Amino acid sequence: MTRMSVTRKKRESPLYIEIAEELEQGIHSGEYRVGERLPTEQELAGRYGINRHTAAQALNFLQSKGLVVRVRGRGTFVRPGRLNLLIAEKASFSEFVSRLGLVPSHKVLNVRRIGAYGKLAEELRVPSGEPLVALERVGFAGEVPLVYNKKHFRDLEWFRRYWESRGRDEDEIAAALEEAEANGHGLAMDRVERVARIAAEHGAVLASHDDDTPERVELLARKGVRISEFPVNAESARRAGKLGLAVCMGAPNVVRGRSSGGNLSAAVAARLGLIDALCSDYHPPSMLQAAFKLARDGELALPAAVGLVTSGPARAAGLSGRGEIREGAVADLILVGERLGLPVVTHTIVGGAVASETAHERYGSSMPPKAEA
Amino acid sequence: MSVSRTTSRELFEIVGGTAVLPDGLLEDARLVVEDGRTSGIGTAYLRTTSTDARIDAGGCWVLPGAVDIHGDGLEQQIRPRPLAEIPLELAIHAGDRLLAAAGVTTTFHAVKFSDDPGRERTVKQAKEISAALHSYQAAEERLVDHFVLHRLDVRMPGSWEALWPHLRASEVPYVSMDDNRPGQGQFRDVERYARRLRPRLTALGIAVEDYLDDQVKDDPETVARNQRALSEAVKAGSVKAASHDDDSPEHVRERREMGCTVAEFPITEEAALTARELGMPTVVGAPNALRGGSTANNVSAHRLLELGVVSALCSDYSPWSMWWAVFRLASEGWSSLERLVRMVTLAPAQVVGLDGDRGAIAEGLRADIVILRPSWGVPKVEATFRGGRLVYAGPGLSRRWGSPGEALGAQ
Repeated sequence: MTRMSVTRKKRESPLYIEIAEELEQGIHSGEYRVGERLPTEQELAGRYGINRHTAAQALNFLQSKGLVVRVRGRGTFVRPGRLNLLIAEKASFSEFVSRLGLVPSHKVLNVRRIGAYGKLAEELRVPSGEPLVALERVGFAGEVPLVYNKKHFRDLEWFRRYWESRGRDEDEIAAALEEAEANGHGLAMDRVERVARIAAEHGAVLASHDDDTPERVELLARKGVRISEFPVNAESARRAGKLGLAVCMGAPNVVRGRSSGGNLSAAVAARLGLIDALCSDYHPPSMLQAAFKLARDGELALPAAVGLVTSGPARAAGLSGRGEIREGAVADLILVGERLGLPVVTHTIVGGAVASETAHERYGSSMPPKAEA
Repeated sequence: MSVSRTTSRELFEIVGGTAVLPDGLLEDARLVVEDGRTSGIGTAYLRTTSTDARIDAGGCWVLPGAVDIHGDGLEQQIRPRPLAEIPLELAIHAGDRLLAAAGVTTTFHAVKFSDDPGRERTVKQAKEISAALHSYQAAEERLVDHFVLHRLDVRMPGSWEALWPHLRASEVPYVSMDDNRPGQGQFRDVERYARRLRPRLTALGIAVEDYLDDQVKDDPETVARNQRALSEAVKAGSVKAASHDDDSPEHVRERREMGCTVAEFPITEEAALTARELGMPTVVGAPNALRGGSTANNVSAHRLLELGVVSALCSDYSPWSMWWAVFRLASEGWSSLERLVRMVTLAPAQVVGLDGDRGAIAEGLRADIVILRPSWGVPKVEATFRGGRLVYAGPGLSRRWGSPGEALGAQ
């Protein structure tokens, strides 16, 4: 057992802090690893010849610095997350990585122009739709990709200044700006074209996802996209509709009264006649609820609202012969009753056969059918 | 056919299936259900009474409805995705339906009285959920029975005070003593805990370190006060308490002394064995049994079954897992079908003291009955009865009965 070297000499800081510092060194040097238990108060007291109170103070001090977790009756454990604490000391990424003895580097994923909508426009105080420059990079510590970051610049001039400040020369900046233009609307056009070609060959319906500018919608429509799913603003949805694309949004958005991502409200879009279909997104029960809610709230007449979860999506996906009640169509039907004030599916009929039934008010009796004679 | 629930006797029979009774299997069974209770059990060829209606369960298992004493599934209905909250009444409706379709006729929704931003839990919402479930349970139109497992957060000041009025007003007052501090219990591996939480916390914009910091904060006085309050409520009678995530024999003993008489989710073999020794029934997650392991790297349900220390299986976070686990475990030979069926029916009913009323197919007990058809290795629910009322019918029965309304007694 080693005895502490600084014991009882003239001290600049209290004893417990010195002990804490020694333990901290042990943590940084890897003597105590993440999740490992530090010596107990008693062990420390013995090792350094101090009383338990001082040992406890040292451990508490480490806890207050966020280096360890003390769990009553179990001990003191080294916490993960030392790296982040260093970041919090306002070191730049490069300094921080260098301090770890590793070589910092960055890889630019892409530079592109995007429209400012929603929160972005709000925070940067630019008009909705204003083109921004977006830069996506991954920062490496040696071979390890450590941080992913995305920066949005309010205009080209600021982006240019930033790159200059990072020591880029004119050629690099020009190349980046060129790339930004080529990557207009956040699309890798070579891939879009490849996917569109394959889709056309196989007769597959192509959808674009999260459209954020009318220009992007226009570009994609030219490439053969037929559905715009989850457009994030009314401008994009409207343009999609004008170009003959089917516009699809999430039914939970209607039920919740807003988008969880802070985008366009589907109920508003429905009222404005901007959408053709509602999908389950992440919550199947929402489809039926959304149709009835739109009708109940007076946003749409019931048949139109029901169309958004039946014929609309069937048409958009190119499924013929279903999605509507019509002679000759597949008998995929649901019966909807009401239970405790909410519309509920009581019977699900798939291809003419009852797949399931649930009790409900109208047929509320417990009785199964009459026994056969 | 017109039958009123209140004035006339309802009498029907379920014939032809293999019934799982408390004391064994009964092939070609005939169950008579009268006014919501099982009134007769025999074999199909011995027909003594004539009934109004008959359900043919040929080729199916006829089982007591599952009794789930720890279900977190409602949280998924309320928040199917981080930050996307579904209106509570719709969430309860959807959860109710899912339980009926999964053959679960009684469930205890685990509601934690805790402010926990990382799980988007608040005490305020816990109160709302408890109140909403309480009134939903009072509605005859419900499909299955909903109770609350009140989860006490021992670390949180005021958790007991928020929980107590709801616990006291419950029809079946059941509470668990939760201590989810990282570094112990289920989360004793802090690093793994952080890794597991990270995606969710990131989506919520919460720094993992800040969250962990907050999670390990504890004021011994608060913990002691919450624990004392629970102990006193147990001593005063009527309240049943479970210990949650026991990680060691000492933990179990300590909790037993505080009045906990059930051990839910013991996370080590030793803790489970100690619970058994102390006469505390153990509640284990059916998903753990079905998946063949715990998501948190705790002791596997398989191992606990080998040791014979599983009393009850609960849905944990997946209602479907209860019946699926029973049949998979039986086919893999972990235990007999009868014993496994008991683990999702009578045993959990006993834990919460409902066994005089439900949890078995027996004369006089509530006719909570599930008809399951073996199909591709997965039991398929053909019918679910809650108190003799058909609340869910799958394709087999629906097809046989012809017109949809008929199956549920259309006017």
